[in-house]
Amino acid sequence: MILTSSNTLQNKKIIDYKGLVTGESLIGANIYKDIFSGVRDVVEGRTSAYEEELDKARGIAFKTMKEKAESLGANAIIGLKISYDNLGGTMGNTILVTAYGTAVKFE
Amino acid sequence: MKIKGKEIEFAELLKSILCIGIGTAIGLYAYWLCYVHHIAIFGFNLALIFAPIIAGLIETLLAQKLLGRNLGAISAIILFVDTTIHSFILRNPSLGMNFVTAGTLVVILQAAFPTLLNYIIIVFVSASISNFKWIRNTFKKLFREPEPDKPAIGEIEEKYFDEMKSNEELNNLDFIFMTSTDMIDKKYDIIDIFQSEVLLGNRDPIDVKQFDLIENNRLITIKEGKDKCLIKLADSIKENGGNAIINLDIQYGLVGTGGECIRISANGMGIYIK
Repeated sequence: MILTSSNTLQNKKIIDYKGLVTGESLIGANIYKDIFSGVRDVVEGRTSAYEEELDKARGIAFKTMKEKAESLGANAIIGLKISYDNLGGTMGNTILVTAYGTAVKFE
Repeated sequence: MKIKGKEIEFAELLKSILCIGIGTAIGLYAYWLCYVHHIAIFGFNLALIFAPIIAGLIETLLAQKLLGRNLGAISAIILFVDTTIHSFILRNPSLGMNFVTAGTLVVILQAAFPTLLNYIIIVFVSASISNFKWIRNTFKKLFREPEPDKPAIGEIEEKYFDEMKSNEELNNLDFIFMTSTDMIDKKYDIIDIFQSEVLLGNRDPIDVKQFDLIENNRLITIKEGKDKCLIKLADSIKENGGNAIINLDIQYGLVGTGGECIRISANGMGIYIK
């Protein structure tokens, strides 16, 4: 599965546009995590706990998207877009990670 | 030597001062550590809570060992004054004299002159409540009327969502969704720019035990909302004689001051592929 954010595939001919594929995942409100990220990593001021969560969430979104593309019979995704949105939520820390693109088949 | 009518030995006095001094020093060190390393939750430095507690604890422990009795956590009061002056007045001059500083000063004074100040506070509070109508009404509103639109917490039903099926349905509308900005190998006419929006409620019940379930349901609601939004967009383009969309963009955001609604909007260029 080739993933690209560009409109075309270099040196390859797209023979069929299969349609839109999306993947979403949430990083939720977790009281314990919130408290520990509040007490920030002393050394660099980064919250590595949250970084790992973001990585995981993006992984889930990508996985769903790829599975959908495969089920449509595509072998590449072009015009890929990823976005992170804060959705407030009960603890004010819900982050929505979305990935979407166009599933295509190339020769 | 006599203090407050009691006979106190000079050595005991020295020991007391030593205890208070060590307590204060360790409290200040703790405050400095928290301050330098920004140990804070939501911008509130934990030193304001922990430094006085640590100072008082160390002083009491020392005093119990050396003198066999408590000294009344004097170093905690010293630390309280120090941290308040440093953090609320010196470091944040813009804060100046506000509710927090006033409240802290009252607490400090209360520690110093408990009986007198408690009388003043009781008289002030009871007089304000009985004399001012708006305060009375505010209290009534706060404690008597329950919030009408707060969802009741009970057993939350788990939602189910078939990703593959919804994806298939979305791509079987005789309509092509494209996130890329161009279709190089096909000829098409541009119709217009199109957009559609969907608003979802964002008031989830607060229940610590069922966080995962609530979150899962929330994500499913968002996915369903996204599908609805895309179908709406496709319908409006079809009505205008198109059969595809390019440069599709899906955005998620919050609406309202407290983020009461989740906004899902999709926009793109409607086209007709020949």
